[in-house]
Amino acid sequence: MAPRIRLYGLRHLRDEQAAADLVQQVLMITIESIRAGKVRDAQKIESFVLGTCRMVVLEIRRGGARRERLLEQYLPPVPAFPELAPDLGKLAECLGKLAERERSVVVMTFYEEHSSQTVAGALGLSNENVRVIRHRALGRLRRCMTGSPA
Amino acid sequence: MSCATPIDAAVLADYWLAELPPAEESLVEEHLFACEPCSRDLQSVMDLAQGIRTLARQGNLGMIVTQEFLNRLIRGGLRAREYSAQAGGTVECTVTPQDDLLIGRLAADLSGVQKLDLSLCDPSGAERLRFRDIPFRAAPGEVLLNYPIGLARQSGPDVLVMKLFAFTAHGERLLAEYTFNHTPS
Repeated sequence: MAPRIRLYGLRHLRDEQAAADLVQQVLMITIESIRAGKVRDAQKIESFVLGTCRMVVLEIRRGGARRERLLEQYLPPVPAFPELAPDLGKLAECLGKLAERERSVVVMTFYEEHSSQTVAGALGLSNENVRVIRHRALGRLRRCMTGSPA
Repeated sequence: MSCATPIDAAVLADYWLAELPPAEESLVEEHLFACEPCSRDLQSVMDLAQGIRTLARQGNLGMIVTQEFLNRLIRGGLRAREYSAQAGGTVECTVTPQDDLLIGRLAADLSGVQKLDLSLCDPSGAERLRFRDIPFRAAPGEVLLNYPIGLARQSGPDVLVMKLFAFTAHGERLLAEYTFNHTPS
């Protein structure tokens, strides 16, 4: 569960340290709740964890005192899903196979995680066009990276 | 372990970029918390994004860039060596170990152009590479090419001719030609 909480934290907080903080807090709350008998149905643990993530992220965004206390403590590394880092040589080769518009859209999108609106403005395209190009390019990139047929 | 209803990578990218409507985002999150394969797919989208950032910072992606994007790279601490070329002009150029990016600024009148190709040729006119249908805006009056700096570093003395081809309602035409004389530093 920790890697999924970390991903949620990275998505909403855009910061590795804050995501690690979130994992610690959510796991702590979950364990306390299980011990206190508040979570009885094992099937519902994922919903409980997601709900707790949402609550804690709101708290972190408000700059809650709990976060400040925890940040002062040592936080051990949070496990991530392993063996997924892409081969940069292969990625460069696959990016090189994209059409120029696709390459520009994905690089400009992911370099600073810009919205389709921002990229569209920079490239003189429509929002919808950028999203279509991005979707198509991602599909082609992933197929190229995994060696699947184009 | 597999997922019976996997989330499409494009949707995961939209989720990561905060571009899903709130209701759909909520559904995606519920699925992700219950599904390890899709969580791994999200991680792979994030890893792809990180890989793209790394390659862009290394300056090794041959691609058309905008001034705004170049500014962000420079603000991020990268050192760009830029060469501006007028239509029909010749530029003496090099690259040094201190440079992170190699940018060619190709001035051109892009008004009325519907589609644009950039062709990289040797002096005899033989095409080495063509960037087809490049994204552009007419207003800046120039095209910025981020030339792979690793290639330039490995190159000996070389002459590279860049040609912009415009596609209008009347067909394709050579819009401008630029010559870059590269000398190793």
